[in-house]
Amino acid sequence: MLSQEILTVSKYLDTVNAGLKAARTRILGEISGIQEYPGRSYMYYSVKDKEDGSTIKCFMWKNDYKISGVTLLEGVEVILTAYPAIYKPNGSLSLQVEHIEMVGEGALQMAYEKLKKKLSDEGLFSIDRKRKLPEYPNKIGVITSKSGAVIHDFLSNIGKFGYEVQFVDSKVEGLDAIKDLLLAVNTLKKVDIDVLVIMRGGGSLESFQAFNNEMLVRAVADFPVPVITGIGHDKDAPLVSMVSDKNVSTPTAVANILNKSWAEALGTVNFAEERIFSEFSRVLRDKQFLVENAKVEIQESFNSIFETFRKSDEAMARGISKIDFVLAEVLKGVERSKRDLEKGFAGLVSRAEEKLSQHSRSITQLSPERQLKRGYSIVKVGNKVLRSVKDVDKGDSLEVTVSDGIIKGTVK
Amino acid sequence: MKKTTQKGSLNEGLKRLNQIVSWFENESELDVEKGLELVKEGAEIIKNSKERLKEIENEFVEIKKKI
Repeated sequence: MLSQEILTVSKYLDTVNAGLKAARTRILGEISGIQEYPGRSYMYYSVKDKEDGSTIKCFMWKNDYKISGVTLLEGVEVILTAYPAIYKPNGSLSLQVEHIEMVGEGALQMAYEKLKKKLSDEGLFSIDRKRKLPEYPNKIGVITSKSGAVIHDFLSNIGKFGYEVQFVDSKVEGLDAIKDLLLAVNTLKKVDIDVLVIMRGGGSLESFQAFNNEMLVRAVADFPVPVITGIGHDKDAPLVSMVSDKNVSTPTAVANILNKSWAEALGTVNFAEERIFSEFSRVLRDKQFLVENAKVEIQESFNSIFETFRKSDEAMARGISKIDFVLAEVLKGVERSKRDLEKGFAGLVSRAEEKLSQHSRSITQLSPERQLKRGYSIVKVGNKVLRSVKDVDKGDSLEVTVSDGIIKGTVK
Repeated sequence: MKKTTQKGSLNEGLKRLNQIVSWFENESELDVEKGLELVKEGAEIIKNSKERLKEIENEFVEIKKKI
């Protein structure tokens, strides 16, 4: 039924274009008439049906072209993801292209090899670029699909070490995966995480195309923290997994890498505990032994000192008793000497007295007085005793002493 | 204590534990007083490390993509 509303051309084209979006689909055709317009943000080309030559003009933002990761060449067969739109300034119908894919395994393989060589020549896959994973990762950024077994396997296998998992849901295959993955990577680039994990399950080479996208590869290479990929593929490793810092094939393996240092830490702590305490116990035992030894040695030294002291004491006692004996002997000797002395002295005195008596007797007998009494006399001239006639001259005065007096005379 | 701090101290703690173990293994004439100090320090680190390494539930946060 015809609407009563009357629209302007512009409004009408807006309505038509909104409806045309529902005709979004994938279209197979050959590229022709490429107009790149250097310096502008868009480009034009045409896509032609190789069977009957049917052609439609295409408009594409260069950013989408870049994200597509293909190189357009005249005559190349591609699959476009696009929807029709009427260009309002001139009313022409064209395709608004969102994504371009190469057609067939062969073309995909060629594109893959070409990009791989280019990135490899730039050194993006070099071992030297690989960053060391953090020792004890705690904040983990995870990009994968919310639906599917991958996230479940990952969460089931990471240990309960208090991880903070910052999860961003993303398509991991199909046309929208590239943009979704890039958006997820850019989102987590602004989040404080220790390590980024990108995972997906297995699949065909074609289903991995998003992970061979140049922009995604470069985004992973430039990611501020180390990136672990768990993108399993036996043959032709996805380029994102080649550029990541660590690549394993399954989400369980990713979980094991994250758990590794934590599990080892527990081992390190237990080992350290055993070593520290056993070593210290050994040291204490050694020191205790030293102390015991020293105690015994000191005791022995003391015993030796006491023994020496005891022997000295005994020797001293013996010495003292000997001294007592000697003293007694000396005393006896002294006594004896005293007695001998007294005895000798008495004898000496007696003999002296005897001698004195004898001398006394002799003196008495020989004394001048006795001689005088016996009739002898002493003649002196002056004070000199006269012993010879030669000693006197005539006229000298003489004094003749007799027993009872002095006779004075003169020499004639 | 925040987990980030614990993480830092765990890392530092394990390094310190390795140093303490090396000290005990390499010193030919061990100083008992120094050894006792290190045993005390090691015991504290071991206690804290074991505390951090016991089962702690993980946190899961879904972040919406931002352009």
